[in-house]
Amino acid sequence: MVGNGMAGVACVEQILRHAPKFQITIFGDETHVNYNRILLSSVLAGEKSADDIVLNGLEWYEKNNIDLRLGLRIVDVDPVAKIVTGDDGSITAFDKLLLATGSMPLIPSIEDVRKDGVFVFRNLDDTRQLLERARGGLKAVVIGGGLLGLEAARGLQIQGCDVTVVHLMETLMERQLDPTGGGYLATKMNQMGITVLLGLSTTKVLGNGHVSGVEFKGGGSIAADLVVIAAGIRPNVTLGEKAGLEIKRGIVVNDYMETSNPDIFAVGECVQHRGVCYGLVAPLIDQGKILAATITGNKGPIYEGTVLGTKLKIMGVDVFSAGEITDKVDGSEVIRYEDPSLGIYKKLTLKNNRLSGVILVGDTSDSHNYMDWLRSQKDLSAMRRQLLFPDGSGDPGLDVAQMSDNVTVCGCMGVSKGMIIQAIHEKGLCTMGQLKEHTRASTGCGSCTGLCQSLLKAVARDFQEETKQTMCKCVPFSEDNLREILRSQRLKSVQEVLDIYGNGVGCEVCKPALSYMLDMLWCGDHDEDRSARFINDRVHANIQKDGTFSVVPRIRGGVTSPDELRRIADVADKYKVRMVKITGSQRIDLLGVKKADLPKVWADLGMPSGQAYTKGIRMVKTCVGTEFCRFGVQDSTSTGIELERRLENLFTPHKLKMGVVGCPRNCAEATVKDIGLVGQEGSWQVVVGGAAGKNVRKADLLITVETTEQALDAASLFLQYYRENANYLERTYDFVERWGIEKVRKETIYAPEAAKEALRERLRRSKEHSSDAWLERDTLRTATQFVQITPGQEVLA
Amino acid sequence: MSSRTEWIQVAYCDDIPLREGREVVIGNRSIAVFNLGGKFLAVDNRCPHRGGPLADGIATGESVVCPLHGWKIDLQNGSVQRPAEMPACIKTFATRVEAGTLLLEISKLSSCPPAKVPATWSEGDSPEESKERPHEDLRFS
Repeated sequence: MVGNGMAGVACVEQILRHAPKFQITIFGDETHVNYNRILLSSVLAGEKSADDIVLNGLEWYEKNNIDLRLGLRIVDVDPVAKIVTGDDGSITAFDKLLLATGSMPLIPSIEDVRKDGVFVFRNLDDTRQLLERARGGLKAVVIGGGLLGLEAARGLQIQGCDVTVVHLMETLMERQLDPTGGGYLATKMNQMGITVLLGLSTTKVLGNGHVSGVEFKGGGSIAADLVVIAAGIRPNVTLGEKAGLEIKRGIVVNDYMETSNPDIFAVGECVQHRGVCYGLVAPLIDQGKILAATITGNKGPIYEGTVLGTKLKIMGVDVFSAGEITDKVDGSEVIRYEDPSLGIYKKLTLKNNRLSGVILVGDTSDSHNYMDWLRSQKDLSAMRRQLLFPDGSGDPGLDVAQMSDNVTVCGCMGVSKGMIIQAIHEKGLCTMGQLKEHTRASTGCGSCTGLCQSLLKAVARDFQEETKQTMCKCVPFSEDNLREILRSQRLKSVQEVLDIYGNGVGCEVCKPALSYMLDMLWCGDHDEDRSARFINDRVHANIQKDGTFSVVPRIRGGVTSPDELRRIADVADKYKVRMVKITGSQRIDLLGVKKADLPKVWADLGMPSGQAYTKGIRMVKTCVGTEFCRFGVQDSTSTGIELERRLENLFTPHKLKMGVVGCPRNCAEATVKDIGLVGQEGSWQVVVGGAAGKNVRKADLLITVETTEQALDAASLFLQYYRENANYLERTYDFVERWGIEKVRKETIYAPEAAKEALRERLRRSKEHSSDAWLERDTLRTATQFVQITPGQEVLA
Repeated sequence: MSSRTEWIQVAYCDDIPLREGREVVIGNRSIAVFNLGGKFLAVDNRCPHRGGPLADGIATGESVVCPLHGWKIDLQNGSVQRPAEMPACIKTFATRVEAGTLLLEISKLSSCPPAKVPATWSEGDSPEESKERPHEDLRFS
């Protein structure tokens, strides 16, 4: 087989199912194993890595005894001698030849298009080059406003570029959308910050050596540091021609997927069937199944063409289109719904009460229903009132229960509901991973993942949620996933995240979690939204059962002074504090303070916040160490104070307590703290993951170091690593157990110097953006932050 | 009970930040007022569970979650949404905006009846034992 892409390899997978007696050789001119080309835009957008999109790993080729020759381009075919010639001069004989040569990017005739800085976006290497080149602040121009062009544009934008899409036609995605739908899409792209220029023909690439701009027909031009051409594809038919096959736009095949030569077959984007060349994955998979039957001597099934559904894969921009898109005067009816504020446009075209076309922009949740109606040509006369809004009841199993067994669930891989159910029963599947592996469903564009999951849940005897749990119902992603998304999509406010990836509302579980995540990811340089914070973090004090608050000033290392103690006593008197309590953390708690008094209490104390109310750095408990103790071997007091100074005011996934002791007698209980420093003669033990609360756990040894500075550094590395990798509300003792101390060591103290420096740098930046929360008394977030509103008085006065 | 009502100016709309609540005290009555973006909702500032200050809760859609033990109260009708099937209910107040000022409709008859603790929920029972609460870690220590 010539070509190692999705269509060809999927066909080989089908051929293998027929248990043929073939010795298979696959030539691929790229140097990669078969990967999911559809997801290249996700790689460009930073949502997936190159490894994530591999479909068949090397072991698959080995297991199936396939001779894989990568990086080798076949340049000639001799249909009489039955040999192919490679660009390295190698000659290989064949009995049957399968051409799966795919397509090439269409390069419009633009003057000076070969300049440095002009790219195409077709394969993994193109994507890598783009990723290398795309930098924040660069001006990128994408020529082509089709599916690929728009996905490339969004990817480049996520990489920080300032992106303009230039499209020849007056409508974006004009092959899939009508002008109204295209208008909605253009508005969406503009809202995302991508400029869209329509009806413009690019005539020239400007620049001296390197690209500096593009010029349009009629004389206008715009600046550009980087140009991506995504103006379409054309079938790659060179080898077909050399083999003497019948060629029109593509290699012509009949319904059995035979070419004009009985020993040469073709599949994928390079073929033309019943006058149509397909450029999407679903038809290519259908073709592969038919071809596999024909080539293995089981000729019979025929390919009748595929009803195409197209989905744009840009997170937050939902576009779906299938079938007829233009309004026709042939007795067709058009049913339409538009809501400009919500950005939703739905259009169905019906002929004789049967669906012939659908366009959805802004809400594609019902696309599988429409696809089903389109394929089945179901009579919809009884459902006319619900066509645009199919029943949205709360029953999660209803969606799949309404589908009949032959309905296609995964359009990319051509997997029906019946096939999935059969696989679940026969193989005892219970996770999505197993389902993907056995049926290939949802391994294409991934848009049917939700449906597959519902089906699995409904059918599997022992359904198991994948280990990655979602944070909450409002934002159905795992926290690992969310951190990646927020980072790559550059989201900086909780509401933004909820609007784009959640239900737009949020709850008391996800809002504080997202607040933490944003603060951590952007090192404090995020858009803080206090409405998403628990009351403690709005007023910087700990709410008590009667609605009053407790106030704990910072007393670093538990060391205070007569002067501080006097001020604390005066404050307790002045504000009639109900109880003054020495805490277990070597600090003093003033209990029963009214919310309105908080700013005055802080001012009178003249001490910083002890963060006793938040998921953040609490304190460092110390013993007196070498300064006074007869047994002390390290200066635990000043080391503890320094540790507290370095880390105070930071937020953490859960509260974080530390301890520093001057000898192994462990008087300040450092071995049951989240981070502990245990002094010994000539060295420090740095321990992590201890607990003496709901759980009791002895901390694990992270490392033993000689100097105090090294100990402080190790503690800082661990802290930042915990901040970046733990789930919200996961204490260090759970985190260290889940992660394993070996892994923690490997990625903190034993990490390569560059990785350690990166952790330190992010900690430094977070620290720079942090400050004593109690200073807010002078810079109130809102006029009523601490106020009880009494009409007719202060506020309305 | 013949209840004469009147509209009282309580605050500038800007005084109540978006998606947050504020306590408004009128006479001996404490009311929690929420700004839900283009809409203000007001309820008794007293959770039917243990009297927690609802104005300090996190708003989730048109509900609020009490900061003390996580009961969830519907701000539209004052009913308890979590724990489920809890018959308790708190008083709601109509709101109106006039020229940037927020008005509440208050009954002239003074003090409102104390929130009812349902018979099924005797003192000492704790909602934390109910499976309804999603996150026991919301309790701050």
